[in-house]
Amino acid sequence: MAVEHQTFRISGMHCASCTSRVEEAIGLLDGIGQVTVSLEPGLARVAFDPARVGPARIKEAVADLGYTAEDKLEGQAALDREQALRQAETARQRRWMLVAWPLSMLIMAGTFRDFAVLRDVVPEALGRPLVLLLLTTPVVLGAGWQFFVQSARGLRRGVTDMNLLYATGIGAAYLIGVLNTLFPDAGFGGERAIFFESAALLTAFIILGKYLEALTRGRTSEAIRKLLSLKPALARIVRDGEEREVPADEVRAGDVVLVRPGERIPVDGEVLDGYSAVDESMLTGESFPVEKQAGATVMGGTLVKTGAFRFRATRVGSETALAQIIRFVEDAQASKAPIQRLADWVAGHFILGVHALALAVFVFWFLVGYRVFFDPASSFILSPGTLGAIGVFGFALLLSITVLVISCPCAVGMATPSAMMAGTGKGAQHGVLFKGADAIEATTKLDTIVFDKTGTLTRGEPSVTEVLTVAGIRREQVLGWAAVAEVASEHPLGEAIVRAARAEGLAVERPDSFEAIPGHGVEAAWQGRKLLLGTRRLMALRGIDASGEEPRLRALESEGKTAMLLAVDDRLAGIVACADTLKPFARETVAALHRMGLSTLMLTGDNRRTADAIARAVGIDHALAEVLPEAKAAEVARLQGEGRRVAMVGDGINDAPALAQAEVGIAIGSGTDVAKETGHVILLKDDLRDVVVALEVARATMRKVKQNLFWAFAYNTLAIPAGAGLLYPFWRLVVSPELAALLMAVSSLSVTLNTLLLKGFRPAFSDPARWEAGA
Amino acid sequence: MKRSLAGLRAPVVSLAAAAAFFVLARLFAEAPPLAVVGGSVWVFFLATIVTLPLLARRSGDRTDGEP
Repeated sequence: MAVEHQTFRISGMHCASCTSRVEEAIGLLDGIGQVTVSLEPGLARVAFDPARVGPARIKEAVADLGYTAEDKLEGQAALDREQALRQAETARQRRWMLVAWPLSMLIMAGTFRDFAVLRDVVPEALGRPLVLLLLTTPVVLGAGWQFFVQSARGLRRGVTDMNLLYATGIGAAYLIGVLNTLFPDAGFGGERAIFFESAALLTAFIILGKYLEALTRGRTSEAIRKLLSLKPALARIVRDGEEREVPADEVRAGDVVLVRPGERIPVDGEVLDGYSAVDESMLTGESFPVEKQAGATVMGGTLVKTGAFRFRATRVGSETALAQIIRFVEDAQASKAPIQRLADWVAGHFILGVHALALAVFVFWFLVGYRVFFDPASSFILSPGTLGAIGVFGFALLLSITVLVISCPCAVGMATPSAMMAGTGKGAQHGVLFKGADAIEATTKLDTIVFDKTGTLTRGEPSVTEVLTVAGIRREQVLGWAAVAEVASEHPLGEAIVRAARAEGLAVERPDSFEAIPGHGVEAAWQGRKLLLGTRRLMALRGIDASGEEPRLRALESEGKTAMLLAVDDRLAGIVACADTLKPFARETVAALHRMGLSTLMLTGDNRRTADAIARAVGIDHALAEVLPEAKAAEVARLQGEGRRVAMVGDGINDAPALAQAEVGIAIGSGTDVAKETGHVILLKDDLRDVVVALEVARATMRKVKQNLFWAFAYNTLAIPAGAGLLYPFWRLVVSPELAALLMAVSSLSVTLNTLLLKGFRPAFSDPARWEAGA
Repeated sequence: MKRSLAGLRAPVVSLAAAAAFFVLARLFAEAPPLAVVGGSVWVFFLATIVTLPLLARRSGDRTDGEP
């Protein structure tokens, strides 16, 4: 079956129950694979078989539910549209607030005009039920009409969403007010059961909540907006030998592009000539400008700090590193963590439960509660006046409405996606890309970090670590002779020796003759001297006694180093030792991971001695030696079999099977060709400390998710019993519907504000005191 | 036909709930007759909201399962 993937933008979703209904409706279509619908940022990712179902049918299924599905726009166009929609929604709710709030204040004043100072200030006419009815009607049927329309649209398709809670609550309060105003003696509680202030304030508070939501929504997608803003509008290119300015989107692969200091690089490419320092921090999080000269690669969106240069465009449009990173972050933000699926399920089923509870509350207070507990002197919490002769119907209906309003699960629905969006954005800002919300959640559950050795913990290229001499010979002489002997060699150890000699300012001349002795070393002649560099076996073959150097050789080898003996004119002159060198911050990273409570392990194809030496140098707990590349995945699986939750840190391409096998595969230093990567987490920089940053971001994000969920559930757990009248038998207090609406708005707002605190996240290594203290 | 009958189940169940409430309220509650009627309407309304999606989903599942 051919599978196509498409992302649709869904408009009109308000809560988790909306997302689960859309997911369900699309999922029921024939030919649909996986469906993920996210409230934030309002996207549906669908895998489908194009032979059986098309995008048009998918959009139709969504439209049947009363929502709108459109093809997702890309890049700046998507953000512009999102911004336009948000602005329109903000303006609409602001307009309704201007209607709802002043009128609600008047209605409140009229309702409570018999209390305290209001009696002297508020005209008597304002307290008349008919006047209150006239004032409430535009609030409920104007500002609040949107809830009736949306809930009716949903209900026709069997969808119960938050709007239904609002509509039922507001509608019932308004209707009973109308009945008791027009027919005060009908037996519905009369003038004491006119809930106009409840209907009006409910509407006003809910609209305030919607206004605040529209204001804060999309703030969390700031990461993408920032990334998009990096792309310059224009590029200066040389075409047909002529320098011209063209829109950046029109640059083609192969074009020669010119950039000057202070300009942003428009596309990816390779430097042809010139010298510059480029600030890549916006893409990789690298804090220092990176030097660029001929042959170096440059990335679109990065900033030229000093020096002008020309480069040849290699990747343009959607192929650039910047475009790939944006796509990556967008995909991650549209995905769902397992914890979010649970929250969505709860929120999705909650609304029916709330209506069932409202029904039970009404029946109880009507049949039993009112008769047993009602006291006319009782009052609302934080509200003046007593309930008086509200009547059995009015009292039971009041509590039933309060339950509907107070139970709104919007905070539960928002808790996870808002934090995940903020977390993935924060990660991207520091050069850490999470492939999905599930990767963030999995990262927080890790207990073991497995490192690949070569290329991850070590540079993967040897360098000279020691130059030892015999009596009467200087260190520079040993290194210089060894370099001359090796200068014609292509062996990595030889190259390391030549590099070391040149780094110390020694002139390395070519020998008069050179011979490589495979597996043993090299032999060269230079300025009449015979130079021999290699193993103890090579010395033995040439009859040179090296037994006196045996202790020093063994000591070096026990540290995992490769020691080579140098003989000049058949007499031992010294020892040159080489080893693979550790990458910067390898030791600090491992120490930080230990302080974070994780155990560490290293996998390498090297022999046990070298493996142990590197592990000791880095401070890693265990080293597994002589593990072939293809056996690394099996080794990770074995660790998982022991019950460990494993992250594998390695090269995104060579270690692909092991990265895929691990709970979290962390591909390090892969540059910005993120599309090729296998890992669940991609570190753009070649900086081991970013492993710690990835863990920190994930932990901070999940901490926010858990805090949000805790507060959202705690709110509902405490508020619902209070709303249902559980306090009444003891203290004769009830929660008014308007207080319920205020509490509901505050709970949603607290989740949003708590998430925004993630903005202040800084990696521990940016603060030495915190880094030392253990991230 | 089967679908339209299934669609009627929610109002029928809700009506039954409202009727049960009416009877219980007349027997046990100290409420004027019109309040009992109003209460029954509210019970019918909430019961419809609860049963409509539940029964629609169940009948949908069954219909989907039919050959």
